[in-house]
Amino acid sequence: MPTENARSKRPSMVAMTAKITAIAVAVAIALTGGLAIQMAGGHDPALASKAKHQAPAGSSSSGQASGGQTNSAPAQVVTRTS
Amino acid sequence: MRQPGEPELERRIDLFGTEVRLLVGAPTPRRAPGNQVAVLAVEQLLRRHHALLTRFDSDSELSRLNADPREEVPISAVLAGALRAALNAAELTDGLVDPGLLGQLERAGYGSSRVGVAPADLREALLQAPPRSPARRREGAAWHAVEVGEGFVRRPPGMRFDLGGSAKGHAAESAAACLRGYDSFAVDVGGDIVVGGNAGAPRVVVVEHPLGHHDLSFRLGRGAIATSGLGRRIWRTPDGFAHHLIDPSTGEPAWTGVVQATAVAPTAVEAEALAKAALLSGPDAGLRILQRGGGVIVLDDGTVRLAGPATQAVRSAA
Repeated sequence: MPTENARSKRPSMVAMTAKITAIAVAVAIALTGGLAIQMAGGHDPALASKAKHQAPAGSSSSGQASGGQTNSAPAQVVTRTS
Repeated sequence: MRQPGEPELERRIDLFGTEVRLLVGAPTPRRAPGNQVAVLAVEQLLRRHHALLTRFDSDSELSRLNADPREEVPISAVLAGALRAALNAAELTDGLVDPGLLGQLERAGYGSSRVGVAPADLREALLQAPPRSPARRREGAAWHAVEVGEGFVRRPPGMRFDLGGSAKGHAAESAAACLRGYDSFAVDVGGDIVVGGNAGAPRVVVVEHPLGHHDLSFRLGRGAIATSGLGRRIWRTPDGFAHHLIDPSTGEPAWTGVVQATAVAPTAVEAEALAKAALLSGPDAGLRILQRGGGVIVLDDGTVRLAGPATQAVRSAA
């Protein structure tokens, strides 16, 4: 026969299960929505690691210097015959 | 405020007859000023090295030394450092990398800067080149008699220096020494590269294939890489083709069966010397030279061979 204490706990466990389900649904919506927003903005996170290894485009003309550009750290370097 | 994963600051400059590229990450806390300060300081240092060490400016300190008839000549600390680097390269390679071949280089057709001059076609040059043979050191070479002291150099009368690659390696090392207080850095002086940084993150290094085949890549957290090859400084002559890598024993451009060699070593001066020595030595001896630190050689037909630790590194990065 259930005690008074057990009866009082039953509604709170149901409420906890409902809360966990709600949180899981909210997280899933947030992740999916965030990814969709990033991709709609032209950024595919799956390509980010590949893009990091691309050689930076452009080089300076004779006697000139280019400055202030930034790369994901650490950027790749290229060794070649000079 | 320093942020984790902060991007590196990049700067490109044309110096030493090639492109210089600087990459500097965030300053390690309490060890260095902002990376913009570092990039500007290193640029000034490299410009000073170039101005003093180029042989294509008759007013550079190197040109004035080469024109000086005295046996002993006062020199700056920068020139002294570059001369020591060149002599160390000669010792390391048992004389294959010889800093006293300026006259031979000029006779081969490299008397003036080739900046802005398109190189001859490497494939065509290889078809017309003489039979391949390894280069050898020059017996009794004058560099053995050179003494570099505090503020002076003493050398056999008439000896002239071409610091070439060792000057680039020395400049890269000097620049890298200014960047020890940063999480990451790379100093790339025309393919002679020093990488490092306190964060210890490995950096992707790409070895460009001189004949347009697939490039190779590997990761390196700290150390130096250099590449020596025929592809860029090669030109037509009335008799065929010539390039800038001279066989010390003959005084003529070396055709050894290797068109490009890349070496990994603790310093850029060592890497530069080992890469050049590997190319001059030919395919088999070249691989042995690169065995300790690792490296890559490319043969006349485009075949790539790997040496030492680079073998595993290249495969794991593939």
